Amino acid sequence: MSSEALADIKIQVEAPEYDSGNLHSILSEIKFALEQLLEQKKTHSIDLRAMPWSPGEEDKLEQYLGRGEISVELNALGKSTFYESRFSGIWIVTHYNQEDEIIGKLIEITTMPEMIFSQYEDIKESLENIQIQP
Amino acid sequence: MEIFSTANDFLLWVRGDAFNIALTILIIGVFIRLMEIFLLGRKKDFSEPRGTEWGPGLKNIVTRSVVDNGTFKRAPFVVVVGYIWHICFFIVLLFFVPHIELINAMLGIKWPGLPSQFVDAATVIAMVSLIAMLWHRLTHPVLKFLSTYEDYLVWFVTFLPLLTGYIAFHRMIDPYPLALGLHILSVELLMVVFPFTKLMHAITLFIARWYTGAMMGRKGIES
Amino acid sequence: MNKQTLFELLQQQGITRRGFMKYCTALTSLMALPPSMIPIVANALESARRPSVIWLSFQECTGCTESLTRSHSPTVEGLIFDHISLDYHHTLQAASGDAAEHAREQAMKDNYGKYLVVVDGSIPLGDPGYSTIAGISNLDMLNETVAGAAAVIAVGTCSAYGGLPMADPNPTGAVSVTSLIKDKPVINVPGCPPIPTVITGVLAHYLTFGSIPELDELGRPKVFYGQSIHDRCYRRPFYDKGLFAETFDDEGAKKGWCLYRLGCKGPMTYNACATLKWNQQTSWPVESGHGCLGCSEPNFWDAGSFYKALSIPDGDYAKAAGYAVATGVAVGAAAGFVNRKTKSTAVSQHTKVTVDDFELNKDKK
Ligand code: SF4
Ligand code: SF4
Repeated sequence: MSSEALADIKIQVEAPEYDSGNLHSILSEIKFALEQLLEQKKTHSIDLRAMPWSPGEEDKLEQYLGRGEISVELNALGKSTFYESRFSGIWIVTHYNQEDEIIGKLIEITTMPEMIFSQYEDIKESLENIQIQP
Repeated sequence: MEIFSTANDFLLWVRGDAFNIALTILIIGVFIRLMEIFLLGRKKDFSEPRGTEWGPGLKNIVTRSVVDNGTFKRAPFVVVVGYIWHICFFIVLLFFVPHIELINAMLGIKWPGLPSQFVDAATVIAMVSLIAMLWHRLTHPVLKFLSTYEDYLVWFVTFLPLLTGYIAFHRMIDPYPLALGLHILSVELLMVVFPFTKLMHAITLFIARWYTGAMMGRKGIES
Repeated sequence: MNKQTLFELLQQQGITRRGFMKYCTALTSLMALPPSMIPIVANALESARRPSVIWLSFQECTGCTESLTRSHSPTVEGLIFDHISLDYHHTLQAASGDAAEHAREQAMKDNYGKYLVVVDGSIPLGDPGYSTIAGISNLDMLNETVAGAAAVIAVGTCSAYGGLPMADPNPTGAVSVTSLIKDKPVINVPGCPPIPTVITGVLAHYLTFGSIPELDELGRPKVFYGQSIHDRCYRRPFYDKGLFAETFDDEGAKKGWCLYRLGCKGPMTYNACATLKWNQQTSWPVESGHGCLGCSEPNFWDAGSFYKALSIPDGDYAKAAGYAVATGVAVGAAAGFVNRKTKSTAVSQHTKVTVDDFELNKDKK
């Protein structure tokens, strides 16, 4: 079943009226990492798949982080999206496979996710392939 | 020798056969003790009493739960710690939801449980008061002189379920089936020892109080 | 065929460095490793070679294979055809009969000492005829195939612990892989079925590092089975507060309270459902409102009703209690009469003390 069809099923998830503590702990981690980035230029990533989310909690986090000024789309082995949240230095990275299923989701605390830069291995290849007279 | 290849096998055994064995011994033991007491009987009373036995008997079961002043003055430590211990013990026994589930499955009655933090605190207090009582027993010359090995056995089998329960609840032993299994096993030990030691007071106290109350309630000459 | 490294293979397919890094990111997450491990995974993958895998299916229901083929990240086709070399799997492979068996033998010969054996299903010891493949009994095939293997992965509770075939009364005399294979490392990946991403995660670990992940005392990789369902359950705050659903449709159930009273075995079950979840991370059993069955634990089929709380004994205690009451009353009655006798003898032998008895003392004074 593709993710699209899944999303088509109109189920309403009621967010439970209690706090599982997940949001608190992840936001603390993000805040700490942001401090480290500012003071020591140290980057950090969090695997969102490794969290024991309760229904609706992950959406709540994304809603809170919101969308900032920049977003990037990558096409390699399927789509990947990168966007900065409304808080500068906090990026949300989602990797999809060729079937458009999510295969990785991370929060990166960095000035720019590493993967957006041109990679030297690829540049080398380009150098070999580029022809002066096309 | 490989009796239990995994912690789960062990848990399965304590929840199955071991529980049945312990329950059987407990029930047989309790009934033997009770039948002994009841069949011993009391002398036939040929005179007609004034007053009844039932009311005062039952009343005495309740009223004797309140300490009388004399006892308190003589042994305040035993009274206070004894009360704390019993109250906390019953909170743990009767208001921890997994325990209620057990009682419900066996007797078909249930009531609301308490949040686990309360039960947890009660467990700690119960354990501390038990340790305090042991310490008191060991340091008080008269008490120490009077203590027999049974007193220490009884202390031990009572303390063990609290300790293992605390460990299981906080998952301090890995894997959990082992922790839970040890807790259930310690309770089964208590069940086995119960009828044959002074732990039996948990039941006989009602009989004793009732007899006393009934005797006091009776007015007139006994013949 | 297996000479190429994985990296070279990906390069040949025209995959860029970015694509490779993305692949590593997904794989790291799949192996339940922290993102800080991505560079290490990338490093290891650059020189990793595709392992040859022989998959044996014994007494099983194919649920584990079904589960595997629903593994999404990276797609199972990708994993199987590009990154491992699945040389024998009699359900998935096109060849059958002699040709299939030949493929197995060939793979064993070519990769002797280096291939991985994946087993799903238990092995019947009662009568070899209960389950055979190409006329070879499961036991023989297992021993023969494992002889040249680097390691064995027991996928599913049946092969890891005996599972359903071994449940009481175990008619086929089923046993687990671990109880038979003692001289090779065995990784248990239990579950009924295991979470698909856990199966691929374990394969990916072997593929990446060429080694066996750290295992717990039941032979399970700690990254996936290190914590209990209960430890990571999002309903845990309700458990702690003492708020429980008592039926599947009461107020508590609707509010998402803890399912302990409805028989949830989460406290004793070690598995990754609460984080990895099922069906593309859509949900997992407890999130859908049903207690955990304990499917990744040995003997879970025999651990009493799925709907009975964990604290309830599962033997026939009512019967035991009944007999005990009867015995207790009988023995108690006997003891009671003996005591009565003792008492009445004592009474009859009792001689009253009179004043005269004290005369002696008086005299002395
Ligand atoms: S639902 Fe199950 S796993 Fe979750 S907290 Fe309750 S008992 Fe534990
Ligand atoms: S929740 Fe429990 S029974 Fe269900 S799949 Fe996970 S481990 Fe197995």
